Amino acid sequence: MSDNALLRFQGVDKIYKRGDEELHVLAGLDMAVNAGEFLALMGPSGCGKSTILNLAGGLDTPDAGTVTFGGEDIGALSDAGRAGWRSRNVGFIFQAYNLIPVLTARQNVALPLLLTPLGSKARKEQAERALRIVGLGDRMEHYPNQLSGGQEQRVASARALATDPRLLLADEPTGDLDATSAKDILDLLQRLNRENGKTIVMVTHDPAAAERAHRTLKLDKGRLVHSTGAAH
Amino acid sequence: MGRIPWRLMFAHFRRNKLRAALTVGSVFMAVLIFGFLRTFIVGMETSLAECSANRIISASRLSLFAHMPKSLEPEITELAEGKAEITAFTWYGGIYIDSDPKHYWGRFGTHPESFKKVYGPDLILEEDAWQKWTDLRQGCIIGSDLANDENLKLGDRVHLTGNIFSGEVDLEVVGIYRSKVRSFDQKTLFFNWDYLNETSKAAGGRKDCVSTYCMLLKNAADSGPLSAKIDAAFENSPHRTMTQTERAFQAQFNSMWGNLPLFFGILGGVVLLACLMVTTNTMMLNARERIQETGVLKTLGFTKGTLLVLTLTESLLLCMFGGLLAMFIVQSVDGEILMFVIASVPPSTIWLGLGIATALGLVSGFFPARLVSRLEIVEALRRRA
Repeated sequence: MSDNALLRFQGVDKIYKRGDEELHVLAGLDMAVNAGEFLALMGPSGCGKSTILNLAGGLDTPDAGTVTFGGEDIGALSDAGRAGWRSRNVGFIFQAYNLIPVLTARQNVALPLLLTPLGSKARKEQAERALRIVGLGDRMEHYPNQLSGGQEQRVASARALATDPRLLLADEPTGDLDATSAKDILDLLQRLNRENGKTIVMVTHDPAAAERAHRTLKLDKGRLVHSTGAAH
Repeated sequence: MGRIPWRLMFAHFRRNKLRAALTVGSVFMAVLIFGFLRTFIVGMETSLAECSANRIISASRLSLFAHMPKSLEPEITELAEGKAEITAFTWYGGIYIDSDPKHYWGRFGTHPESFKKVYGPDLILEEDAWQKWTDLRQGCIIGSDLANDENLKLGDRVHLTGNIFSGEVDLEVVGIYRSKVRSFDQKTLFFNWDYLNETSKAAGGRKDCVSTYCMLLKNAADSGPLSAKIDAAFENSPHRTMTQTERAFQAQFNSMWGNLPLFFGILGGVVLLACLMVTTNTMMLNARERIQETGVLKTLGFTKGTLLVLTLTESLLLCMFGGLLAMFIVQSVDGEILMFVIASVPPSTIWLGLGIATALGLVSGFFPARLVSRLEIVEALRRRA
């Protein structure tokens, strides 16, 4: 394992219960993501890709093993501790964008900034800066239903960027987009990785999207079965 | 806990204007009903409490609405043996302008001089007006609220068409009184009994009758013995009397409505319960529609506590706004007459109304707040509203 690891999974088990049945989604998973790396996770549905993102982002906790970020055990944090850690270190990009429909693009992007010490004016400026980075400087006061899918995903990307997190987690970010919009989003992610040094973990079913990453891990039944590319 | 995204709450209000308005409206209606019911009951209790202990009233034992002959007055005066001033009232009824309920207020025939002796201490009326009323057979005095409501001023004519008594009376406003006590309302007209009697008699209608005899005692201790003496004197006559203190008389009048405090209590409780169910249902609907949004907020780093406060505050704001509006309306009826009772809105009614609105907000916000705070992020993100 790399010494440059920002995110590390060690012997991670994750079990979901459905009635009396136990579903072992991850079994003894070991993996590491280096700082500044763009990693793609691929595999069939139900193989545990999204579970890895959930654990990496502190949305869920492992049943066994540890998930560490910069050496800190995320699973050992309290709920509130994990919430604070997420707000400082992780940006999320979802397949369904998950924007708040009653807020404008700028207000959506400014939402996570409420959890920072920034004042009102600074939050507004930061949100506008993030929207300009994703090319939506002219759509700041639009509501999500006034934007195309690609634009919504760019707003979601701006929201993920707004707090300047070290880690971006993208769960099938191009899954709902047409080819042109998908390309724009992948270009954006690649730019954020290269120019801003963001560490990115992206779940995708699209081999073309995975090609943008430094490294691709393939999973099956909760285990890593294949790796292509080299750690950054 | 961190900053709370209040903007989000107001954005939801704006997006769901109708739902927010209906929620506010349901609380407004419920608290308004509570406020009016309590105002009515407090008004009844206040007017009872302010009744004079020195006054007793004789009415027909048959019914409050049965007349007694005017000829009883000398006998009652004799029975009082100088221990009381006596006056008589006759409920005239009649129609002013038309049958619209807004023109339906108290109209009594009485004797100005004796009326002044018995009720003068409770009223504020200039001496000139008392004198003019005494001197002018067609003169009348009216309460200040009545003057405002009917836009009447000194010198104006008031034309009443009899419906209990025959004939018509044409009166001139010679005085506008104000009351020092809540037990005496400011929305009544008093005119000369002799004029009432002669117009009705001339038209072939009722004559020489009164509704009640009212006595102001020099010593309140005489109320029991004198009441018993008067009732005993007419026990075997065709006109049996029931004499009681002004407070007991007022209580008897109030009791015509039945056990209002109990009835109103049940009514108010049922309305508030129904409102609670409506607001709880609405707030749960809001919370369920926003499950995915809740997941997103938690993903971004907002804590359970923040979302709990946000949800509870949303419910509280809607309910308290409805409660404030209702109490604003209730406050405005203070001193007005509600079904023969002078409305009384003490601060306790306002605080109680606002307290109920707050409780509605807290209780109806509790379940959605619990739902939101307990929601697992992964589960919330997976679910659609």
